[in-house]
Amino acid sequence: MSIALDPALCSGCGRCVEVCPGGLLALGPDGRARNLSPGECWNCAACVKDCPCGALSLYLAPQIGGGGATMRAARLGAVLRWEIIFPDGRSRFIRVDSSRPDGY
Amino acid sequence: MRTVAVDTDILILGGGAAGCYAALSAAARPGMRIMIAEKAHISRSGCLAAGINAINAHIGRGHCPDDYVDYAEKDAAGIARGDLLASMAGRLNKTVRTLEKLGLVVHKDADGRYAERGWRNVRVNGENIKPLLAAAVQKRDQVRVLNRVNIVSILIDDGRAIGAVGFGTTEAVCYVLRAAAIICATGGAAGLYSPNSPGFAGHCMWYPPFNTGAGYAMGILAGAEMTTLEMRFVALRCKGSIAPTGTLAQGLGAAQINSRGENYENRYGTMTAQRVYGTLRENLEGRGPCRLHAGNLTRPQVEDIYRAYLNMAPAQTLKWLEEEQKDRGEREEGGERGGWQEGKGRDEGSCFLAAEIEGTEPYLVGGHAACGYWVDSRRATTVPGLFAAGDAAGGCPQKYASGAMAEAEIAAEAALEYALEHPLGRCRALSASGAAVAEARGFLLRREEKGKVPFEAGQLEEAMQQAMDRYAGGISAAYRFNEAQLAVAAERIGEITFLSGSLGARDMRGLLRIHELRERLVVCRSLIAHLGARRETRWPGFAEHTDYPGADEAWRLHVNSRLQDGRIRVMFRDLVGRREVYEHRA
Repeated sequence: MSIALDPALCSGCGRCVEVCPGGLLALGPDGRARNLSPGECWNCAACVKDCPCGALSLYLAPQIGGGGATMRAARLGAVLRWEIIFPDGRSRFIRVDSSRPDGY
Repeated sequence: MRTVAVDTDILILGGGAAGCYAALSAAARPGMRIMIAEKAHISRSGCLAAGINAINAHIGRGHCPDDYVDYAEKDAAGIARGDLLASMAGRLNKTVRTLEKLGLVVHKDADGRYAERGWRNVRVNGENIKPLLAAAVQKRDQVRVLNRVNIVSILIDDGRAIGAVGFGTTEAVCYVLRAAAIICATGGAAGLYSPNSPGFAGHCMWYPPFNTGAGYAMGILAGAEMTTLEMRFVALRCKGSIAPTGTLAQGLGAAQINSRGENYENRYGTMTAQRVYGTLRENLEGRGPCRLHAGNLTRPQVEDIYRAYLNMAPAQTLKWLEEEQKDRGEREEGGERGGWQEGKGRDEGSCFLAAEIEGTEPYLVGGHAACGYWVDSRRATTVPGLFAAGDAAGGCPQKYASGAMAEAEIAAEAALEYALEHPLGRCRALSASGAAVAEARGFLLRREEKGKVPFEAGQLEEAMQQAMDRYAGGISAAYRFNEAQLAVAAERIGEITFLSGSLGARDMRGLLRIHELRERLVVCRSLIAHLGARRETRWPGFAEHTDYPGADEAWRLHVNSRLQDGRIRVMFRDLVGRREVYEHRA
């Protein structure tokens, strides 16, 4: 499992660099985020959830059964909207409202 | 490399759950200066980075803290400190209320009471628990946070801990930090053994791979007494994603099923180690793969589970969604597979959710098992001025996140008292830091010179993990070992430690990798000594000593150790009751 980075979407804000608990992301000479060591990722998804541009997404490595789908997140207030994109181009959304105490 | 010297009153090593909570607790005393030194950034560092969907240590309605002590003692097969469990359990509910005040959303029932999942567990929307804690810390003017600083050594002067030395992980800065009292909250140790999926997905593990046993290693090298390192923790997890199983097992009553469709959990018991042991045996005896199977679900229940896993282990939700997608594809061709199946539950129209399960590699983690620093009832270690909390502190298993924070509060109170009674006067911090600084400079200077071994830290890390895996009871050895194998492990760890002294670092990140490797090696050495010292098998599933199969009542005691004159001295300590107060004797 690791993080896929779309440099075209990256604004260079550096938020992912700050939150990565492994210190695995850095801003490159072009001012955009780069992944220093994909194999050291813990899949905590902190960077994915904090990326304001949707430039980062999570995937399952093939070694642990990954089938090529990716998952990114957008924060809309208390709602985290996950977008799952399958290899055939289909996608689906799952909304998680963290302010609702009566369920997920 | 420039050196920065800073003085503070309370120095906290590690800004995870315990470290942040210790800082908040200590900041309740006006005028005290508090500093957190954190290897990553406190907003997402430590065990809570991905979030949690339940608080696993909370005293439910109709129960009392003593019930929790009973449960934890039983789960640890008797090897736990009653005094530590009792003081931790007594503060669990207060801790959860504090977290709620900080913004954690706790699920409520129709009467507005906490929604309990069993009597020890409350459901939360905890995706943001770590950012909430970090924000609370950052609001306190008294607390200074040093992010991206890796502490490598505790400074000792005249037998007392007086500070710590660390290095920037991105900037070439050496930090010499002096403090009247120090709280070690660095977490436990992952990465000692080969992981479930070595290679590219090697960090896809249960415990944070960035918790490298720094606190244990610094304590061992400072001469602190350590306890119960032989009680390793092996987690039962969803295969591949290594996501938690409790949400399925406790939340949905999912059963452990083997390949013949038999529910095997009652054959082995439902204690943590027994669940792992049962799954291991079923696989060894040819009845794998084993799955956790929740039947008779409605579609909204499945959607709830997807969201619950997104709040703590998003990889598992992604895995289920991929399987669901494959399932749809194959159904069109007449096939069936996958974790989730529509219309395949027990009742008509219901569905089920399943995940293959497996045991992880062993970890050292004082929040689940009883390993770590040997502390007194107030969480003081045997080194004056040094306190411990969370996964770094031993004797108090099953503390989980809320218990780690409750313990951090106890440690902070004791550290405050110590700091007020023993203010730091003149001390030799700079000279005490000399050896660690000289060693680090050596690694950095050796990058191009002769005398450098042609290896990288990562290669030696793999060599260490493989030696531990094969000879000290890792996954490939089915968590088994004997004395002859432990002797081989000890020899290999000695050789790798020797080689690691000649590594070279290109930059501060390289230096961090070398320090992490070397602290793991220190921990491995003590762990091997502990595995050999307990001549019985008390926790099958976590460890099996094949020279001494079966538990022996003579071993209802703590195996402790201390590094003395370069050798590990093993000693035995009596159990401590829940109504006792334990103090270190000089």
